[in-house]
Amino acid sequence: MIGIKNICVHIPETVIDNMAKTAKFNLTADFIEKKIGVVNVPRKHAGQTASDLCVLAYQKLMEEDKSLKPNRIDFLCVCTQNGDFQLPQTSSIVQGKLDLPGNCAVFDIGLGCSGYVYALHIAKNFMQMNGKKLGLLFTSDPYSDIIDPEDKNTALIFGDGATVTLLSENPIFHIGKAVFFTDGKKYNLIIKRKNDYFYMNGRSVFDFVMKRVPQSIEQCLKINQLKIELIDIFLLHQGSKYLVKNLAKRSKLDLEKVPINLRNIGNTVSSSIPILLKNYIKDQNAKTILLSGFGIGLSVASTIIRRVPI
Amino acid sequence: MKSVKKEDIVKILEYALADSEIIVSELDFSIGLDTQGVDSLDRMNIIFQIQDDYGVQISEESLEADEWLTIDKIVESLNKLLKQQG
Repeated sequence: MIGIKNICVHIPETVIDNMAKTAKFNLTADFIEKKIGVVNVPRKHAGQTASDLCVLAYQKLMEEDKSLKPNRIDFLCVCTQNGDFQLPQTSSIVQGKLDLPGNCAVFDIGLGCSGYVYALHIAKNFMQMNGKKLGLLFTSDPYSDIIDPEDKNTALIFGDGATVTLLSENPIFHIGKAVFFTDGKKYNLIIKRKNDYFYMNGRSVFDFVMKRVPQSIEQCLKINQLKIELIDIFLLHQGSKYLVKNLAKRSKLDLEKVPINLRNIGNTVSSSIPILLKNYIKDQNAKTILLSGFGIGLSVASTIIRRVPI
Repeated sequence: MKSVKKEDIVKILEYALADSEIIVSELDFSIGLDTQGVDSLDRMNIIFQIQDDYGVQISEESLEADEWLTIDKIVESLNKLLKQQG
C-alpha cells in the first residue's frame, strides 16, 4: 500500500526580522513572540519560483537517500496556489527541471493550508489505482509574491518554503482515512484578487477554525476508530501560535503533543504540516499521528497516519 | 429569554484569558479592554467565545463601533442582540 517514505524540506536562509517591525506596526515584541509566534520570516530570493523551491527540496531528498533512482519515479504532484505561471501547471516545470521520465503522471493540486492532507489522499489513491510505485508530492507556495509588506495581518505571518514527500510501496507511515469540510460561502475571507494583494479577514477565519477544526479532529478520530489518547502527536497547520494553542485547548488536546515551529519558519501554507512531520519520520515513539490542515476555501481536512511496524 | 449578567461575561473572560497575564478580577468593567492589556487576539477570542456560548453572530460593524469594548458594553450589547434574536 502506498504511504509516506520520507520528507525533505527547503526553507530559504534569508529571513525578515519581525522584531524590527514592532514600531512600524505598533506591536510589542511580546505580542510577536508569544501571540503571533513568528520572529523570523523566511523569504526566497526575488525571481525564485515555486518550482525552484521544489527543486531545492528535491535536492535534499537526493542527498538523504542516495539509493533513490530518479528514473523509477512515476508520479509527481505539486500542491500550490502560487505556481510559476497561470499556465502551464508548475508540476510539468518541476518534471522538466528534474529530468524525470515521460511516463511519470504529473499534475498540480490547487489547494492551500488544507492541501497537504488532500494531496496525500489524492496521491495515494491515484498511485494505487494506476499501479504507480514511487511518487513525489511537493508543496510550494511562495506567499511573499502576493503579500503586501505593509499589511501587518499577513506580512508578519507567512513564510516561504517547500517540501517533498516521497511516496512508496514500502512506506514508514500508512495513510488512514480522512475527513473534509468546506464552507465555500466564506471564500472571500482569504482571497487574492487580480491586481491586488493577498487579503485575510483574521477574525472571521479564527471563528471558522475554532468552530470547524475541533469537529474535524473529532470526526477524524471516529472514522479511524481511534480514541484521542491513542494519538501520539497532533500536527496542526501552523496558522499562528495563538491559533494553534487555542485550537489545542478547545479540542482538549495535550499541549505537549501539539508542536509549534513557527518561530523561524512562519506559516508556510500547505508546507506547514510536512515541515512538522519531517521531525517525526525517525521518531519511533511517534506511531499514530493526526494531521489537520485548514484555511483558504474555507477548507478543513484531517487524517491519520500510522507508523508501519518494523 | 435568559438575560446575561456581568458574572457570565467574567467567566468567558477567565476562560479566554487563562493563558495571558491578565487578572480578570482586576479589570475595570467600564474601561476599554484594549487599554487594560487585553490585546487584539485575546479580544478576538473573547468575541468567538461569546458567539459560541450564546449562539449569536457579532458583526464587524458593531465591533468597529466599539459596542463590545468594555465588559459593561459587552453585557449591554449581548442582551440587546439576544433580545433581537428572540
